[in-house]
Amino acid sequence: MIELKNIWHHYGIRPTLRDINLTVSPGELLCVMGPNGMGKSTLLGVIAGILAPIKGTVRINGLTRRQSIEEEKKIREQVVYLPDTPWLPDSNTGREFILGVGRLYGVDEDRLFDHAQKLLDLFDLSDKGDRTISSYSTGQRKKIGLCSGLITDAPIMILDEPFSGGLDSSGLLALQQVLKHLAERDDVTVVMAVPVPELVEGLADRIAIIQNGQILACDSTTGLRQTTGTDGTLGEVLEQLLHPDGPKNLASYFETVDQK
Amino acid sequence: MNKPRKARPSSKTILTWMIALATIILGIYLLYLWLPSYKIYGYRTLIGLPFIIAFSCAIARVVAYHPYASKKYRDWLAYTPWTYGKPLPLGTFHISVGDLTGVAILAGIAAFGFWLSGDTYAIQSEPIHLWEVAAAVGLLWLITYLVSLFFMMGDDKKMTAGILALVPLTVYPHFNIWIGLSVVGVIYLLILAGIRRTLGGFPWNRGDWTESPQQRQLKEVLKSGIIGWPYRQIGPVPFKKKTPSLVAILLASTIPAWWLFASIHSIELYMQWSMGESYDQLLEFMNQDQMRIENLLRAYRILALIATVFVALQKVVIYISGTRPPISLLGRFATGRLIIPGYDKIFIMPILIIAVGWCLTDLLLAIKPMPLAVSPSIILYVLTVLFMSPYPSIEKWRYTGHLRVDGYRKSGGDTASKPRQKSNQITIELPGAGN
Repeated sequence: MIELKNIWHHYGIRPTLRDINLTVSPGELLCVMGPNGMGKSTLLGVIAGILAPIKGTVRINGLTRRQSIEEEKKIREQVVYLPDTPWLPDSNTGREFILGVGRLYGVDEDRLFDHAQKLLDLFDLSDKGDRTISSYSTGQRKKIGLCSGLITDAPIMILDEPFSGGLDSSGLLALQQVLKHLAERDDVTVVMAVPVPELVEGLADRIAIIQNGQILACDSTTGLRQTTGTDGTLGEVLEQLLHPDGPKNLASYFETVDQK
Repeated sequence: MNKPRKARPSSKTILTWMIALATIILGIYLLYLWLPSYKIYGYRTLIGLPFIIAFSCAIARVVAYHPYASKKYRDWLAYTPWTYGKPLPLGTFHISVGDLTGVAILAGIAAFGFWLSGDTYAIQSEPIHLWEVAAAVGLLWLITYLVSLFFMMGDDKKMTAGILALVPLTVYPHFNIWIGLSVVGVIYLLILAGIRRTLGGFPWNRGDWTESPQQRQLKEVLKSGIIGWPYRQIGPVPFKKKTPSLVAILLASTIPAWWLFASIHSIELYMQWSMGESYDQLLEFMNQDQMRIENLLRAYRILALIATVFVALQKVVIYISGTRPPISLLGRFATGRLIIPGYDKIFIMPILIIAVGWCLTDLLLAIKPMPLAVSPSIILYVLTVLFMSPYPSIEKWRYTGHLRVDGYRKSGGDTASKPRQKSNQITIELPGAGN
């Protein structure tokens, strides 16, 4: 379980996160959505432990982040954080990299090799797996980064924009299926930031919508539809929540264009 | 694993080198006889060459024969039944008759060169004797050999500290050849005892034999440098730095202070000896005018301040590398959070270093009379203690500090978070590991 209480964070003058209170239950898949620059990655960074919030506490499975050495060590064993662009060892092969990450997280050796091969197959990297990462394309780099996060078997996964970064259609589909499978499991909690609503429709248990550093709404897609009174796509629901004047502005714009 | 190549040169190589050396000596002697205008180069070569050879041979003597110096050798040796007390397969690193003969020959060559020069060299009008030149070659060899051997003691901190504490006694309270040699003798015995202890624990990597395959694999992963941002920074990487105890800090800090004290004292003695009466005249000249003393004290204060600021900055760098403050300076002012205790605690010790360094300088200057060497040594001691003080400990800081972990920024080319390629520096603590 992830619990955030009264989280405030600033990088400079403007607060990036304002009084965030959020609980993610075990086995839940939570999507953090919202416009660019509104604090999605910061929120994930705070949960992952790369940022210490100015105020508030983060608790993971009952342990408080950055409270004591022992607690922090235990948390780090349970949480994997995958940023948008992780560092990759260019002079090593993709397989070596993901095996290394797996070993870091203490994955059993017998399972590790099998899991690595299956991940490489899944993301269409079987041919590239034994070549150095320097020869990978942007999309392939993204894929091997995802493989590194998935191979850890960590019970809590924090994924920052896993769908971005040049993933091809098969990669997108594979990742969706993997996340769907993880969402169905009770022992894996996933929190991820995704800017495109269509990618997570039917995938997320709940969606947290963040704007100006505050959680505007946090509910299932059905709940969000009820709140907004919209029956459309998740994109339309989001638009209704984030930009209620959006349709009116659009109509006004078209009117101006047509008059010309 | 193949047995390492023997370090000892073959008889043919030794013979070749001896012929080459004899040719050089003969050539210089002929130069001396026939070309008087060039003979000065001949003397200098003949005097200087033995010193260079003695220095190189002393290092090679230890490095080529001690298992600690060669990974290939010690790895191979670890799989043989060799234990301390048995002869080393590639030969001993202890002083042998061959070494003494070689040093005697080199000393003889240097003395020969000195004799050719006509015995005209002197230091501060004190003539140098023939035997002193020969002894200097031997002393250089011995000191180089001892220093090389000292580095073969590995991680024996107590013995290392003991030996380092003894070194200044070679020149303090005053230089005397017999006292100096006696101290060198004691140091040699201590080094031998240290080497005995280190080799007694051979093979040193026996912890590898008892650790699980998983622990070994993890060690390899961390050594390989394959793990980068964010796994190395916030993944379950075992922490490598241990916090020293207060007693260890207090004792270890005496060594640099003691070295500084002995060095300043020796320089003072050397100046007295080399300047003779002029030294007393200089002191008298300085004491005549208060302004001169004030200028000197001002320079000393500035020097002490620069030193304390430098030490304080070093302390800050240890903590801030790979991290950033949670909020910018502008943000602190704007939000009124001028002090963030969880982050700013790393500045307490550096500020204390500057404050204490500064106050102590003035305090010690006010105490009169005080020998010249005392004040800087006390300041250095206090600064070293504060510098080594683990507040907060690096481990606590990395795990619980209110900081921003500095990730690898693609566009900015920040390499702070890239894994270290010098992987052999990584030591990790693993539960259940044998070492």
